[in-house]
Amino acid sequence: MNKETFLEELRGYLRILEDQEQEDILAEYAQHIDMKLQKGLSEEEAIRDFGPMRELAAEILEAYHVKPEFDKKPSAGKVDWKGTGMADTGKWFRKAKSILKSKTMAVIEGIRRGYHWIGKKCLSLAAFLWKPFSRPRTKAKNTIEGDLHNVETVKIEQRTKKSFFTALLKGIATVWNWLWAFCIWWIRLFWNLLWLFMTLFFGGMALITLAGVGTILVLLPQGYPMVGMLLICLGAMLCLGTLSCGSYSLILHRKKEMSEGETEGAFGDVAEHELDNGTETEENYEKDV
Amino acid sequence: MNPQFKKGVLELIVLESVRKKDMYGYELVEEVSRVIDVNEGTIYPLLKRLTNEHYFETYLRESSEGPPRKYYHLTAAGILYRDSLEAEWDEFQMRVSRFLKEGKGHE
Repeated sequence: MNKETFLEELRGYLRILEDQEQEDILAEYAQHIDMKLQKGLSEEEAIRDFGPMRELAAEILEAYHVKPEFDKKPSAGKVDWKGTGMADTGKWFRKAKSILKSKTMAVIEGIRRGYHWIGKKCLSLAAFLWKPFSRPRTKAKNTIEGDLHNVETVKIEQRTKKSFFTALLKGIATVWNWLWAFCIWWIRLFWNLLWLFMTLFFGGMALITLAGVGTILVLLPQGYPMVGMLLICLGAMLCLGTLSCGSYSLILHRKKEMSEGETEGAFGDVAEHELDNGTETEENYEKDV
Repeated sequence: MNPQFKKGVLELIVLESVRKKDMYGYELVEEVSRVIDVNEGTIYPLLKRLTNEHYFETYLRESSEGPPRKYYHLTAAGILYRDSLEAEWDEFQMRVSRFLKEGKGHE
């Protein structure tokens, strides 16, 4: 096949397109072949590289959103009429056969689907009616042990119900989690305020006793009998100071514990954890890359 | 290479080639052939389609040898489209390679 016949034949396939578009795309192919010729290839070789004409034409038509089957037979007028008339009718028959086949298949498929649909409905109705009589679900499955399909539909139904139930549970869990977090927040606030108050109170007392120690230390050299008082004050001061520090440390301790508790979550959502793990692995993966 | 793989990325490769520099049909075919082994005829319909979808503009330029050539130029829409395709491709190949890696890990 030389360049001219290739282009003419291709034009035959592309007759559905506007003349301008035909020229446009054919010009590209003509140029491509010319370039190949310049490179020292023969026309034959250049055209062979395009692969089967039919596929090429189908691809071009697809680019224009035209169904490739539209112009399956080239029907390039005069040439085809004489030479490949028989082949054309053969093609036509084959096409008709394939269409007929696909249509009958579609009808059969439709009937099958309808049948299945009715079967499913009946089964779900039966399962629904049966439900009050059978406690464990496995029992229901056994009783409707018709064919494999039946069991499958029942399973699917159970799954959807289950998923709905789990979704409901999850919703309740999240609301509960939220309320719980809210309560915890208030409790923590009160706790912290209490210990803050205690810290300040004991700290203040400690300071007062410190002042007392100071005065006693001043008075002692002047001969006042205040050694006992000094000891008491010192003891009280140390004690109060310790209490103050203890209260303060309790605030911090409490905070830490709470933050840990929150992330661990007594009602921690499994899905959330999974999600976290997923992102972690993703990050890890990115690092790896 | 698997022809189904090729078909998917061909568009991206064509867009990227034209982004780098305006090219005419045959030049582009050669450029693409450097990356993947593809049926040369299939690139022209793709160019046509991308032009029809306004991702490419075309203009004619005289050449020293033979008739004037039709050059393809990537439009702003084409650049956006290319970027989205690239992002999709990155995501796609990352997922696939990760999945394959997982498979190896289990063995």
